[in-house]
Amino acid sequence: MGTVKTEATLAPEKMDALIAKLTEVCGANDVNATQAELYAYASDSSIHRAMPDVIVRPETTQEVSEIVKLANEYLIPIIGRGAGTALCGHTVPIDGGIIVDFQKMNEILEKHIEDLYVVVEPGVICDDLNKELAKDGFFFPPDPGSSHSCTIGGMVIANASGQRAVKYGATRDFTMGLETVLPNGEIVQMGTRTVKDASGLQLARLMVGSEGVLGLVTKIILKVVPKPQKTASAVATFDTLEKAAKCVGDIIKAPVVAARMEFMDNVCIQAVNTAQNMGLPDVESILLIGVDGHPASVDDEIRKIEEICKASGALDVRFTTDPKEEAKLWSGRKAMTCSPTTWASRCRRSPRPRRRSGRSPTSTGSTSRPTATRETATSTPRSSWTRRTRSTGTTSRRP
Amino acid sequence: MDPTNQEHWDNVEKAVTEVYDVVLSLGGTTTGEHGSAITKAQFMHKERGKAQIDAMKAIKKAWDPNNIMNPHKMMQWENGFITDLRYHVCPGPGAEDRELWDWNTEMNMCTFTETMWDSKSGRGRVLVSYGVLHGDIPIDESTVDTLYSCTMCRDCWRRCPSKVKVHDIVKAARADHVKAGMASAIQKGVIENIKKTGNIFGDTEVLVEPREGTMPVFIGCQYLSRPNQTKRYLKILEKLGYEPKVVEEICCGYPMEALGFKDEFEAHKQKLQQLFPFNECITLCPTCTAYFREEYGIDAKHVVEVFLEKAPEAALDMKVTYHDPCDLSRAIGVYQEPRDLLKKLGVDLVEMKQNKNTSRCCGAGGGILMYDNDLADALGKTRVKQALDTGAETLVTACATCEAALKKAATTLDEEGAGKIAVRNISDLMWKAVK
Repeated sequence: MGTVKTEATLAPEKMDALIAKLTEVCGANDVNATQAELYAYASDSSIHRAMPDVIVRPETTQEVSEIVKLANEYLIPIIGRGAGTALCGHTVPIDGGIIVDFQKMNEILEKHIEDLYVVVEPGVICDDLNKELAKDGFFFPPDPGSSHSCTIGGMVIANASGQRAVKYGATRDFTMGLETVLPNGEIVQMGTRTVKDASGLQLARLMVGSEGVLGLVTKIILKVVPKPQKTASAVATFDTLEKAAKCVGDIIKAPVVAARMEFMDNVCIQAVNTAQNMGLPDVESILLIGVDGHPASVDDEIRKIEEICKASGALDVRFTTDPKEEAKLWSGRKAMTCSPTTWASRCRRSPRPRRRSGRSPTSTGSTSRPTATRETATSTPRSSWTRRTRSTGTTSRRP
Repeated sequence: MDPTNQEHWDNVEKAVTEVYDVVLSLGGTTTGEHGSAITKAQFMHKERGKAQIDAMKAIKKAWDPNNIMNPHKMMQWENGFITDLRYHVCPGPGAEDRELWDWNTEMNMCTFTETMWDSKSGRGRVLVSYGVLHGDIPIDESTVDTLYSCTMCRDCWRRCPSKVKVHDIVKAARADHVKAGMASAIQKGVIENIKKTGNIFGDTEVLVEPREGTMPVFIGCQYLSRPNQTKRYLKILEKLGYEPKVVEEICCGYPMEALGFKDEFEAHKQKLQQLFPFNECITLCPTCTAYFREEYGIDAKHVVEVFLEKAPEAALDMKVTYHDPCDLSRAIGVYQEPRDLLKKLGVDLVEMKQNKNTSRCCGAGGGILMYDNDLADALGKTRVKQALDTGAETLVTACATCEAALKKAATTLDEEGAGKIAVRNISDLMWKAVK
């Protein structure tokens, strides 16, 4: 496998010295190197895992800076982590190292609604921020599938977007400025608190989506926007994928600026129906379309969307303006990431013929799949992957 | 796909590569919002081309000359389609008969945050269980702490979008710990009690006399040790027209399985099935109820469900709040019945901030009392504080274990001057109405 090392990152005595210094910085309650904890932090929501050497939970930017300086002194990898919801292994410590868990830096520091921005710490959870902003009738539009648990810091570092990107944009479009701890431990303020900014290279924009390879973000200045007065959502059903896909283009060029649009094929529909009890019609394809804005314009857009969908050959178009129903619809789609596993495992346990409409009978198949063929499964050598047990004198009890 | 099948993985690699080739030929991007990091890095390289990747590497080198910031990701990824950082595609030794381990990726998808360390979240417990089973990490004090500090309240199961039964995984991993000799003296003592006397407390006297009747009633260890309360339950059932049949019984076996004493449980289960050979019964304890339904396939009705059917209308003039026992609520979905019963009894019912399926644990579930009493007390206090916030004069519950834990917490909070609330078993209110 080449460059991926499996041996311990540092010699044991050096590691013990590093842990002692980290404990001086963060306190014993926020440094943890027990086997169970390291294993819990070995992965995020991806399919990968690799053991870190130690987890730290800083509470201030100064502490983060000290940690980064120590990492330079000991030449050990350092990886930031929010809620561990990344899907591509962003926080998996390939070479071991220090995981900086930002969950304790979770305060909304400043609210300047009149200037259209807020200042938050990286550990603030996306939905929590929106709950706070809702008090002022404002919101932060990016809403990834994990918005109930993902942190703003993670969203910034991954440039998360979500369902509303089609109208509002991604996290980069809302990141005005960042406080960053550079890889040498220096604390810098990138970007501004102003809507306009033509001052030098836009490093804050470079940091967004940098996946933690350029530094650790410790404070975020986020643009916020007024909440729309009215929202409506439509479910349009189609008997082919092509008709649904064409309909998307037709809606955009109408022009109707949809706040969000999601496309679902039959596999996707069955998965969310099974796992999330969504009760969507069992058709070949569904478009979920959401509009928001001034009540008059929303009413007008609903009418236009209905016409366009029907002209594109939709089997049926249904609307709802009931916030509860809308929430159910979109949260069901959000949970799509984890629905197929539930669906697949249920199919596997009780194979049943799958209904498909709009297809010739010859293509009707059954989902009964080959059972797990343990004979063909290959065994992964476990070798030196496990790291040695390390005693740190810290307890892993509650903080 | 089946993640335990290498051939499937090979096909995935082919399919993914083909999809990206099409995407790139149409001018698309390899990643809209999930980034590249490890999983998509090789395809991102294809999309951006060598010159751009080199430019990214130059920036990375200029900013981070020691290459300490999240190294080997994105522009630095050089290992193509990921194979060795992946979770094992093959279940580890001893996993052959465990269906719940089959879907590795499924377990990894439970994401929710606690202010505690990750290993104490549902996801963390699943991961640590996985690591122990596969021999990735040795069983030690930290894995014991991860697994035995779980109250098995099933709240993570409720929140998990993939409906991963974390409590079953924890039970399985605890069994590995017991096998490895990590059970504590207290835990072993309880199991010995059950083996010797049939109940968890080691009581040798039969506290509730067997009696003939038409409807089998399973008392359960908790109520066997509370004879007065049990007698009252039986009297209420009689007043409602039932003829309770009580036999000499032994523990439902849940503590054995929950603590990980799997072999002992199998022997115990057979014994119980001989002593209690009924297909339907009334149960007094929520845990026995859930366990009879799930493990034994017995049509067990919790006594609250029975009460509701025949309870008289009453006018108990009191303001109460109701605590949902986890095994009655999340486990078997009995949320509404106790509330309807309380309303029928004429009480003014107010809800706590967390109620029904979002209810918090009383702090006494899952064997926690045999592992970490401080944690149990803290959880109990949090729950009673929520009850105090409602302004109710009485906190009612339908479980003897919850009742004891909440009573303890209420006493402590009263002593600390945080407020006063009475904790009552739902049978006390029912008795007032029917006596």
